[in-house]
Amino acid sequence: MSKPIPKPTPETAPFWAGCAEDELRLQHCNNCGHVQFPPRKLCSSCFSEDVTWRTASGRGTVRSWSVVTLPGAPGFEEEVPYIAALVRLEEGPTMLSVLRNCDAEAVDFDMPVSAIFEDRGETKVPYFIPDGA
Amino acid sequence: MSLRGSVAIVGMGETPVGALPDRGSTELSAEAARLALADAGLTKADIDGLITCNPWVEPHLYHAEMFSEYMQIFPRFCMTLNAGGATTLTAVLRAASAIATGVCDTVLMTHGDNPRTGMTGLETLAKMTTTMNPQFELTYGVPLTNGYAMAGRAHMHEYGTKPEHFAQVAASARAHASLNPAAEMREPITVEDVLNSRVVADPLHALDCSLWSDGGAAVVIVAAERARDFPNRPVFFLGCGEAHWHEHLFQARSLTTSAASESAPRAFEMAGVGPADMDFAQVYDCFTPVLLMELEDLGFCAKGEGGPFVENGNIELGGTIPVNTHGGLLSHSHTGHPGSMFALTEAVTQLRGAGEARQVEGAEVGLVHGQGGVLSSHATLILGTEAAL
Repeated sequence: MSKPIPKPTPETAPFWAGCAEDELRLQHCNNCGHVQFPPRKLCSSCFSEDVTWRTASGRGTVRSWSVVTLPGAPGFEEEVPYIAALVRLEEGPTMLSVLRNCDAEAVDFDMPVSAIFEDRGETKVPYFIPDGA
Repeated sequence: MSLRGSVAIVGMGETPVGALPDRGSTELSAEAARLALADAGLTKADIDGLITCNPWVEPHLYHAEMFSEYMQIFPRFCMTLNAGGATTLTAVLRAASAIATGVCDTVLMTHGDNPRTGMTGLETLAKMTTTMNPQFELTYGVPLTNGYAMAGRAHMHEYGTKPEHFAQVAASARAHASLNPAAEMREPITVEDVLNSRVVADPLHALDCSLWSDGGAAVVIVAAERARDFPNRPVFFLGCGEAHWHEHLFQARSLTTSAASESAPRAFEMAGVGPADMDFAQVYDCFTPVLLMELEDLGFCAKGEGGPFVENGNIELGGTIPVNTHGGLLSHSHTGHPGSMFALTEAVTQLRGAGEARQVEGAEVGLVHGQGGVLSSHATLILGTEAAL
């Protein structure tokens, strides 16, 4: 079985369109300045609908991590073991992702990482690599 | 209007737990319901409120309606609830609210499921994926065990908690289960046993993870004024509080402080008591770090001190606060969404003084806490005997 391919919704399509161009894009609220992820129709902080997509730096830091040995979904059997991580983006929001080019022993809290993009079906999926890797 | 003391649990029923390959989720709910009604000395005609929980095996879009049809009971208050492992406690709050406002008189709460034997491994995996955000979690195939592991690792980093502390939680649960003939896993284990078990999602070992079981349990709830007319000692509702902060872990406002830090003060305020007044606590323990975090957030110890707090048998019988006297999800059973039902029925057992070898001497007030999702939905319930009213 192949890995699940994310199916964009009208709200998330700009995010995945960004990934396809090797760009991480986040929504910024023009009313209160809040930056949010996942994408929403309205700003979850002030409910303004005046939100703008902007290209993010793609940089973040590791909040926590754990090595996946038993995959939680079909399609990842060949990929284990891999390092699941919660990455706090420079702009504020946290993403769940997977670390590439990295030994599990080398991961640390607040380790700086940067987004890379891997092909998945017709789209691309963001992963993270340690700075300098 | 306060719900404190407004209703009481007057009946309870538990099916066997473990691997029950010849049973289905609906019949487990039915057996638990039948036992709870018999325990209360009631017939099905007395039931006018029904709360169920949609099981993983044999789910129904309108589960409570399906179950009332199956049992041929015809309630005027009927709902299916789903707050994962918090479902049981949120159900008690809704039952109390419905009875106290005159919507109905006698509520049957029954939850049963058989995820252990009722699903293949692939079916279980497919069900598990439905708990994930379909675009931003499922895409990475990360199981919830690793989600809890990341929370546990963050607690270690922030507070110096050690794997030995997590392991002690599992060993203490097993010590209680060894005294409970109904528990699924009764062979005592040590901290070393846990640390020597297979790493499933670092830093979590196999014995840091709860069981996966078939089973069901039920309770009957009525207005407090009627509660003394039943065969068994009534167990009164003293307070309940909920807090819901997120569904998916990557949206959690903290990895180390849970919404139990809000649900518990709400419950204690309603009940007019505090953590130090509790004679026992039945607390959601799907993975050992969760229990540590909840002990802190419920107020049984200071934030960050959950690790040292569980050392030296402090959460066992005879300790400061006996926790999960039945063995918890770690050693009694984990039946999926109905998992907290056994925490509730154990609280009733303790407050009836019927805990036999695992009875907390003189138990008058106790706490039950449930958690659903990945540290997502939290609900805290305070129960007491008549003396606690």
